Amino acid sequence: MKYLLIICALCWNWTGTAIAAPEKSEVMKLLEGRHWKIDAVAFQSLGDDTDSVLIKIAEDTAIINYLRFRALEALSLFPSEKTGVFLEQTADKSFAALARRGFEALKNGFSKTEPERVKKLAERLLHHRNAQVRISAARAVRSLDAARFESFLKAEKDSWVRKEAQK
Amino acid sequence: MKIKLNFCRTAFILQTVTLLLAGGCSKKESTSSSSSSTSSLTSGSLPVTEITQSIEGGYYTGSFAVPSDGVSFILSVFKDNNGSTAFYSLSDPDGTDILSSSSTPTLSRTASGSLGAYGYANVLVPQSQSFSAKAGTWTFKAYSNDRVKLALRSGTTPTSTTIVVQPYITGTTWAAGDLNAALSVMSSIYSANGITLSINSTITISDSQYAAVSGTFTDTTTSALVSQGVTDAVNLFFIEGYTGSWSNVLGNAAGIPGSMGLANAWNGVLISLTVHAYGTTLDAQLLGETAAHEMGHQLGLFHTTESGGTVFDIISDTAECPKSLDNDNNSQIQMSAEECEGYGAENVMFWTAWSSSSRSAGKKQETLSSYQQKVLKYSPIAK
Repeated sequence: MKYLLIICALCWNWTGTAIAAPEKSEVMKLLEGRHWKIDAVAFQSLGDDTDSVLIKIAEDTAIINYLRFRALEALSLFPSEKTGVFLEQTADKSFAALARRGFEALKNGFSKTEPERVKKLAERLLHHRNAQVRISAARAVRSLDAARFESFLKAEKDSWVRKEAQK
Repeated sequence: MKIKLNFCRTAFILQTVTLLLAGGCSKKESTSSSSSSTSSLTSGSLPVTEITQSIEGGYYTGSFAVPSDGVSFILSVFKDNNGSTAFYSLSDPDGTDILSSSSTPTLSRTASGSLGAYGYANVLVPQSQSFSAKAGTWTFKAYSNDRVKLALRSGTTPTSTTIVVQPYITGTTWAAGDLNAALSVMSSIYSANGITLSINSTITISDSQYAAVSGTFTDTTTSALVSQGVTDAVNLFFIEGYTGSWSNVLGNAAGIPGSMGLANAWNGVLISLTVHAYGTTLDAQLLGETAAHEMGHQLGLFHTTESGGTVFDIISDTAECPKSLDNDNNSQIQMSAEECEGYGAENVMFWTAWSSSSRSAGKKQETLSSYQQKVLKYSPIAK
């Protein structure tokens, strides 16, 4: 019985370690750097619930934009339903710079597993008032629905937007 | 002894393979023909000369003279189709090839002109305290290219130094006046390090296609934007934001160094405004530090310490922050400014800014070492 209790205690401790969320400061540290590039291995080694910490950072208006933007980008590494919903809301309701990054994170994280979901959001954003959001959406649509991309090119009034979308 | 830029090794190998292939092709087609380049002087205060090249042994070769009062030069090689280009060698008047790995000192695997780059590469002398623009005849061998140009500064040894800066702003979220506080921070940083910045009035570029651009200088839109830069200043393009995979970068220079004295796609730096804001309120201190940092790259300064704590710059008096100082309780080695306090985190050219909490507590990156200052004071674009 004594040994059983010890084993249970150890298992409880290990289980606790496995599900522990990383400290916000740990996540923030991986978002720093002037010439930042996402380090997938580093983020994925932070443990469970990293996505929740990233969402909190991304939605915190008191945090400087570059950290919020990078948190969005890092969320593409955690393509859960919670992440998907958050990124869709971000793309739909945020200011243009945040909206574009929310969409791009959804595209990067979900294109392989849920292409229809990405396409649905992209189609909405083809009508966005910000040109860069339209370009980003159009580039995604190009690989998902060639006919829809062609119709976008015909409808888009800015020639430079059409040109950028085709890059 | 500092370790050279290891992060470039993979790129170096790839570039070398490409360039050797290109060199091989040149050998096959070369006979005794000479290139069609002609010498000419371009406009602007910095004299720029195109060097006549001839083809010898498969390499494009040329030479130039540095006068007895030569201060510095930047030797640039161009490939119009944005293909790979580089120098094979650059020998000083004593016959020392400063791009050879067996030379001491050497810029081998450090200068873009040695590593190779797409469309444009260069060699700056001096890029550290170990080099000087020795008087006499310098000779080079280059791989296939369209032209080689020399920007040469001569005159008295620099004591007081002025660098002209030309800011630009794109997009509609912010106006020229919104940059004033950041430009003031940048000016103060350089002034505290013995360099006067003469900052021209900010030019607004209203064409909406330039609001957000790629950080790749060979991109057609980025190239069209940066090519608008003037030839007698360091051009700072404050863009509303980056596009694509560059979206979350604070800023980037066209090279280490970038081009000087010539209007082209590598004649400036990009700095994103959106990422430096809380909502739409710009963080002037951070933006000014980023501008100072990117300008340092454009003029030839490397990061004093790279993120992993194993790669350092080529300047001997800058503090290094080795990975042994990483004190996180995780397996990731990434040297934060906080971990490197007293080990270079205060330097303008440290790889990352202080964290938000440290910045709020007043931490700044405003120092340059004596030898870093020397590189800037001797810069061809400085006066």
